[in-house]
Amino acid sequence: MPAVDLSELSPEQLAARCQAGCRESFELLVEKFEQRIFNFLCQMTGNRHDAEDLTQDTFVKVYRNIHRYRPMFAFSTWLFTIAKRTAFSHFRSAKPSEELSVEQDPDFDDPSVLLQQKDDQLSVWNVAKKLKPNQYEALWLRYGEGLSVAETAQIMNTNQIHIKVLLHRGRQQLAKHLRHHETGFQFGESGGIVGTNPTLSEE
Amino acid sequence: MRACWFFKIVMANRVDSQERLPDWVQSHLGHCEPCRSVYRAEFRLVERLIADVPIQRQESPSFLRGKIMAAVRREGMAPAPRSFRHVWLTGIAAAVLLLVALSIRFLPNLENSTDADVLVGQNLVDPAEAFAPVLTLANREKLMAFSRSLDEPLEKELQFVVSDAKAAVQKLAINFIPEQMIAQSSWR
Repeated sequence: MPAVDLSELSPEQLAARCQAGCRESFELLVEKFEQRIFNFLCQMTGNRHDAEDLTQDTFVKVYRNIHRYRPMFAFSTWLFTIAKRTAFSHFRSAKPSEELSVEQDPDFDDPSVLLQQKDDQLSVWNVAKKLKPNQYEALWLRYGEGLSVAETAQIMNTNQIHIKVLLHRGRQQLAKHLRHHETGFQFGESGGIVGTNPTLSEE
Repeated sequence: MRACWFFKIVMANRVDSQERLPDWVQSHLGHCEPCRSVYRAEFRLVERLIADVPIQRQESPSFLRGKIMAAVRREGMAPAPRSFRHVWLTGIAAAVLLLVALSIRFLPNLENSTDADVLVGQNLVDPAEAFAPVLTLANREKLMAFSRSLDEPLEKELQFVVSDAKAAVQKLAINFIPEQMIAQSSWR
């Protein structure tokens, strides 16, 4: 049997190999998706420490239930769905005292932290956090993770029409928030947003 | 313009799917300033959202992958294989049910009696002639006795089927199920 280069396989093919007991395939899946899942969970929890733990929990759940995955569906969709459910069960079981984390206090002496803070303030996503959680989640999955409307709908356990409504309303709300927020945006007469980034601004 | 609401719906859909606007919408935008502004605003917002994703992304800790794999190793030697136990248990249950159903269906053929309904079912005698003894019975006790005599073969056959099914399940349990699993299960 010819040796297979695992790095050339799609996530779905890797998952299928993993179902047959190949741990190397699973390790490669972790390598491919670890960063994305960690980021997604960071967006959901707003806390790096929780996101780390939940990323680990998510992959352990995936490993434990890999036999339930059907390769006819996108592996990323299945993985994000598990990550989301893991985050929800974490929210349900989290104690109120956990909201105040030591990590949330920034180190004001560290220039990289200050730079990161400045970037965060400039980011549209920082303003988007004022949106409803499901609007933010839809926006992040669609534009942050680059998933399709159909995949987003599957992860959020709803239909595509609802996702389109969430995206549309999310954008409208975000535009309103941006109008009142000092993020370096200028606003046109029509209420349209004109970015200060020269590569994005209109000719 | 009166139809602007319709164009806005199309534009919102296209922004969602990040597809190019159709020509007929673009020609509308060419002469409708409000729609053009709305589209431009939505488009720029999406551009900005996408452009700001790298700012929002956070590097995962370098040790995270090792931590995940260590947790996975603690889980077991290999991913959990697809469990077939429930499949063959369902199969046995289905087989038993099928056996019962077939027995009930073919019971009249197996029964070698001269009961009226069997004879009628096999078209061996005229219905009127077969039920004549029943119709002539005057008292209730005789009628009940006759009814019991009709039911008796069916009950016996059902008992045989159930005992056969039990024996089959016991045999399967002894031959195929590991001792440990039998000890855990309560249906032995």
